[in-house]
Amino acid sequence: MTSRVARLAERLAKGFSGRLPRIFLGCLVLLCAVAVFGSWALSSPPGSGPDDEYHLSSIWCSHGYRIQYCEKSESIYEVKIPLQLHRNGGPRTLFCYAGDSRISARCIRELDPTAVTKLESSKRFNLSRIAARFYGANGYLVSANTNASILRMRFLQIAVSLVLVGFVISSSGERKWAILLALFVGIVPVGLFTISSTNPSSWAITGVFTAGACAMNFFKSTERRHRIIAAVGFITALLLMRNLRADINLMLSFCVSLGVATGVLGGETKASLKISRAKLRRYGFVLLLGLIFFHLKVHTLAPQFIISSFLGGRFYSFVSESPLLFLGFLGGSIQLGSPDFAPPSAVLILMGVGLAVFIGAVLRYVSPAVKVIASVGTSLIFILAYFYVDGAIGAVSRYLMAIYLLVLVMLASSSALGIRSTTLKISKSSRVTIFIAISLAQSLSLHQSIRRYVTGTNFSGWNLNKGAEWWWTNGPSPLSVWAIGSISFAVAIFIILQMTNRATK
Amino acid sequence: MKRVFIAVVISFAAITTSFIFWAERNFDNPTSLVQTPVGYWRVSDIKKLFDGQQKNSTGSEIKVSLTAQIAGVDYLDNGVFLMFMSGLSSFSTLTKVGSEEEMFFSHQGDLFDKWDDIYVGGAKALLVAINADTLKPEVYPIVIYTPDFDSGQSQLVVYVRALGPDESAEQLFNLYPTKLPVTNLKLFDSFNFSSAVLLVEPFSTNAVQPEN
Repeated sequence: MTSRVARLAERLAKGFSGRLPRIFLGCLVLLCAVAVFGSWALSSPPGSGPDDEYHLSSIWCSHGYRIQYCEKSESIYEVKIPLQLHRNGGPRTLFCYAGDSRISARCIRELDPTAVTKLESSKRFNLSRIAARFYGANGYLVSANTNASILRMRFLQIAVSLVLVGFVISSSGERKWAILLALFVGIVPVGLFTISSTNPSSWAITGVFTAGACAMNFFKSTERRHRIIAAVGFITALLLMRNLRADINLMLSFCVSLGVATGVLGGETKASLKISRAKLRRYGFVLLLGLIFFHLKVHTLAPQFIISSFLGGRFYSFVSESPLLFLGFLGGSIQLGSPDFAPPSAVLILMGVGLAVFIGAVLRYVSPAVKVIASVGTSLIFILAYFYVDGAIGAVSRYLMAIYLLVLVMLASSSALGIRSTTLKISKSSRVTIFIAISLAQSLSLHQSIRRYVTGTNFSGWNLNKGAEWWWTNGPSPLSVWAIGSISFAVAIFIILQMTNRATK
Repeated sequence: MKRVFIAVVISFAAITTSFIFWAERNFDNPTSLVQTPVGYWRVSDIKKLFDGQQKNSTGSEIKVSLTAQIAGVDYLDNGVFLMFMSGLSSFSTLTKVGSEEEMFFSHQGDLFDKWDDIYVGGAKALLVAINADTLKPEVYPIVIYTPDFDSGQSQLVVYVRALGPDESAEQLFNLYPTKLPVTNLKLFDSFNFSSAVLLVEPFSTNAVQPEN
């Protein structure tokens, strides 16, 4: 028996030294990603996503009038939906815990039958074409069991996101590990929560990012297979993103532009004046992009308009709200679901350290052109945040998350190619710092998210099972969900960090 | 070095598994026994709801109960009564025989339209109600058929007859044990009740045909 274990250990040891197929590690990372997203999907109760009463009502009514799901009301601007989906329905709704972080979400398990069977008129549902595809796809999962339906929808979002990111990864060649590292650094904690929610931003974040990253890969890749995958991913993302959010066209324009610019300018260029077919394709694509710009009237953001806005006395929103939105990416403001709690302050510090070390590690291998493009992308985050606040939309990190992720991916992808014959090499201390900081930040955010809903935030202690009022009837306990999510994330980022270094040696 | 690494990995996996096993074993969810109403509304969904999604699943026996604020029974002819139930609750409670699993069934669905298809020849039921004349609770074994539900008034009108000499209410009393006095409907009489509960005999989910 002992010799068998020793043989197995020996075989595994040999495998890690290079023999073990990378596909196995890729599958392990995928499995860990599913476990992490799954843990986040289970960590919060139905209705905890941002503006969920609107999105759930829209999902329930996405297939027209259906008995007991969405019925005709007296007014054409209203529909009758189950009482439990009304935000202002008091204790008889899925939102019975919202607004008071001291109470658990137990109340959603104690809704009376009237909350389920009675339909009340509501104005809060989608009448436009915005996000109709998102609502429609989720609408197929609506059933009488609301909790189970919402859980299924969350896993649908996870599947869609993994497929989209799959296009990016499989069209990245040897850069895939660096790109994965950027994603794992950038996605904690807001991305993890939002992607596994019933909010259209779930698709928007991964979709817009995928379109930008695939555009980048299309121009950067030298292999035909990667280009085809990038093109398919780009088209899939575009089709999925159509009318997904009111600002989606703007976001797509910016992200695709950043991606194309990185792909064209940040690639391995061998200057030549000869106009090849490949060059023609590139210029044609850029021209097409320009036409889309004009079609979407992006040019209305003329400089004089921007300057006049700044001079209009709203300067402080630029120096206050925009940075706040950026900190939101790192878990530094109230961004996770119910606006009654935020991740612990340690998450902001850990994420700040992790992000800084990551940027510091990759930046020296990034070409100047990509640095400029990344700066433009980062500036866009601040400028757009200013306009969002100015337009009374609010500085919400998830709206601009795709740009943030794309900037990180652009840097990582470019660094993996290296400059002046140097290749990416992340020092051991940097790898250890990134690993500890990001894993710990993820673990603490997940813990706090579960804590908020199983006992309320006035309860302390590491053991999430103690006194927990868990709203799922099947599946693992709160403590197991946290453990599985934390360990899976740590394992995945460990593998990615190791492979990023190996892949670029 | 590699062996140490592998040993660490294996130890880590073992500790993690033990930790999760311990967490699961020591967790007693206080809400696990709380039944959340799901409210299925179409009769065709009953089978899916109670038997699962598989088509070849075995059938279940489902009890039905309805509550109303007021009920009245008037004699028509040929031993047939007409019963109305007013202030009907917005749902029926369906319970699987042999379990405490309850589902709430909205009356706005098609339960009453398909009643006579489910209960061929009528459904045996116990009417438990407070007699408005004596103000005492009583139990009436009856057979009900052809219900008509008015959703606007929340009123149910249904034909009723007393149990025949060859019909037994024993199964009903086993399923709905009661110590209240059992009374039979008297021909040519009218009755007024308050706080009425209609406890209906179980039907098999195999009697429910799924919709195409």
